[in-house]
Amino acid sequence: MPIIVNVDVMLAKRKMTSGELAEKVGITQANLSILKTGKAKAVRFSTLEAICKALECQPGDILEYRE
Amino acid sequence: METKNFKTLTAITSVAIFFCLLNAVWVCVQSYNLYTAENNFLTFEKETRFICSAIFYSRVIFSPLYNALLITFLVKQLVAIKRGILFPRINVRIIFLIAVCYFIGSFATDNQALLHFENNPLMINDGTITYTLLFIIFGIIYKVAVDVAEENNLTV
Repeated sequence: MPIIVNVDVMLAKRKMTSGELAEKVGITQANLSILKTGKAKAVRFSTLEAICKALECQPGDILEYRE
Repeated sequence: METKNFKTLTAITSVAIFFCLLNAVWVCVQSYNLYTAENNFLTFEKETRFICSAIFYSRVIFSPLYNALLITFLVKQLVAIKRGILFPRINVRIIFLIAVCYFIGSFATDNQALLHFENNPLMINDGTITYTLLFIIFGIIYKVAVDVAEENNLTV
């Protein structure tokens, strides 16, 4: 998948665990893992909004396009 | 899925399974009676006997197989829904197999008269073709639904 979600970097910056992020965003850890491992086919704007709010960042900070 | 909808689906599926079993048993009993009857198709002329045997064994094999596949489809569907999967991928292949078995079984059933009356012409019912095509169309749409559901499961 050319779109990569770099959540780990922001998690480290905010000193937050995956579990805490999943709880704040309102998704399961399994779904967060799908996102982190690049297996996700799509991300809802509502989920992206919740992630950015929890990590206090911009969408561009966690989304990367790699050919 | 809502509990009420699931219960309705389970009830209707149970009735469908019952009638599938009934149909399969009926075909087997009817075929046994025909096979053991005096002056059955096995006493016909060699040429006709070959066609009659093909029709007889096609019906004996493919009609119960069609019912068995239908039951498998329904059971797998219910089990999958209970596990939270709306469209299990394995059912796509089952639907196409059902289409094939239905066509052969239905064609054989349409020509049952040939097993009793030697000079009956071979015939094909428009319903046999129509319902086979409908099964194929349903299979294609079901496959699309499986792909969409799997993509939805990977949407965060």
